Amino acid sequence: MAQALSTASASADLDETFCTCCRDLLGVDGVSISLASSFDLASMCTTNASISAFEELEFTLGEGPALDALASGEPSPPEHPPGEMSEKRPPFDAAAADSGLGGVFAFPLNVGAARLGVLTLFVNSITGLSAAQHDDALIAADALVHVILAAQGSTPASAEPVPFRDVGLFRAEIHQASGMLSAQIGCTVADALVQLRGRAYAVEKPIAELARDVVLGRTRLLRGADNQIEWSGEE
Amino acid sequence: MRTPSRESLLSRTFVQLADSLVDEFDLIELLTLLSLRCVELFEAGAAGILLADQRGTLQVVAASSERARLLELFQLQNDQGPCLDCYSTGSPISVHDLRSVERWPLFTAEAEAAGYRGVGAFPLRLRDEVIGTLNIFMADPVELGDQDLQICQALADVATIAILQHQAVQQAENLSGQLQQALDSRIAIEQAKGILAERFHLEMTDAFAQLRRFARGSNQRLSDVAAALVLGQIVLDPSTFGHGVDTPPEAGSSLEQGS
Repeated sequence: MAQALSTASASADLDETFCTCCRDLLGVDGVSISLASSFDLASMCTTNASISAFEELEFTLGEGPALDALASGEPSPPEHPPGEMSEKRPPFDAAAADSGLGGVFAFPLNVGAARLGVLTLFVNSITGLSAAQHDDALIAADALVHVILAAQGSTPASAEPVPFRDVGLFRAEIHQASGMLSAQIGCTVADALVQLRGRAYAVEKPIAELARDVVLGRTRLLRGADNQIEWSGEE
Repeated sequence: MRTPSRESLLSRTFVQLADSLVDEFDLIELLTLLSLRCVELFEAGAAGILLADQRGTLQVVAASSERARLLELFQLQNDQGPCLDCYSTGSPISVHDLRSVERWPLFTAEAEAAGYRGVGAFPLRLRDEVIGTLNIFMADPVELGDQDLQICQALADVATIAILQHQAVQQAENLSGQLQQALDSRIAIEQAKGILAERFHLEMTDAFAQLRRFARGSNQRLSDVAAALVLGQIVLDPSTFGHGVDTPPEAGSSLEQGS
């Protein structure tokens, strides 16, 4: 499934068609993908208009399953009867009923504590997500992280010139490097990871190796004139 | 100063772990303590706990030391080594002298270069599944006896329970979700280490020590502090940093202070 998602994202824009592909792969009735910036979410794509409307309501009200997932970093519970949801959030009751929605399940798209966005699944029936669907959603969420990182950095989703394992380097350095880079130029850790991937791709170096350069202080990010982001040091 | 007998250290270890499981606890902090205890109990050189991610790659979630060399030694076992074999077969592995085996030539070379001669790997088992391994390195080729092996397996079992029971497991009864959370917590800690290392010009090992220290001192979970740092919700005050106080304890030092 991860492969299918990668392929789909490579050949298309991340739009309604892509969301529809996700929906079909996961066997649910609707999908939306939203992107995080600071603590807000913005809708990237959905499978249909009524879901878009539902999301807009959520983001306008400032609360809902996707925003909960973003804030907590954890997915919605799999058994999530809509009745319970509407008890807590009456405006959703009407919106959900209008859309014929039975359940809404949000999965955060994270790298560690860095928030990239949320994948939200919509099912028409009142049953919750099955364990299999829940597992599949976690796999999809993981694949989507790579898709989003690629889209934001304008690099291919599978952009690893050399699989990191071949270099025999410890992957924690990628995350340490993300932290360091974010402190170097004052951006979010998510943005720092996008920068790291983009640079690795541009200089045709395995990301783990570039990460090691960052950790050892051989290369760093700076803000140059006009607040431009620049890489300095040798690679 | 009396050194505690092995039995008393062991019983205190299990009591401490049991207490943690009942109270709210931070998973990574607990697994780190467990790794440190392994080093103490077996006079080992190093210990660590690895979990398999969704792709089946073994990721370090906690270790007795943050030294990059050691962590590399765990990580490269994704290609070859006792952890990989233990994970695939679900059976414990104990080799008291790596020089006497030919199974893992590349791993053996790296392990010896790092100063280790003996190695043990114990599965983290959940019914039919193996979710990871507990890995121990010994500097000298000392044989682990039957009782030692049983204790190692018991500690691995405690690690498994901790992973399944930790903190905000709440609605995530699904095993994949729980493992993902454990791995995410570790990644957040690595991200936080990077932030601290850059801001305050620290080595990664010091950054980790300061993170743990701050979490304990402010009575917060290690993972929560790491996430808060990454999300820009808190900033650490360098004037609170200790110097040289929290270097990773060598085998035999006391963990009782909980500092």
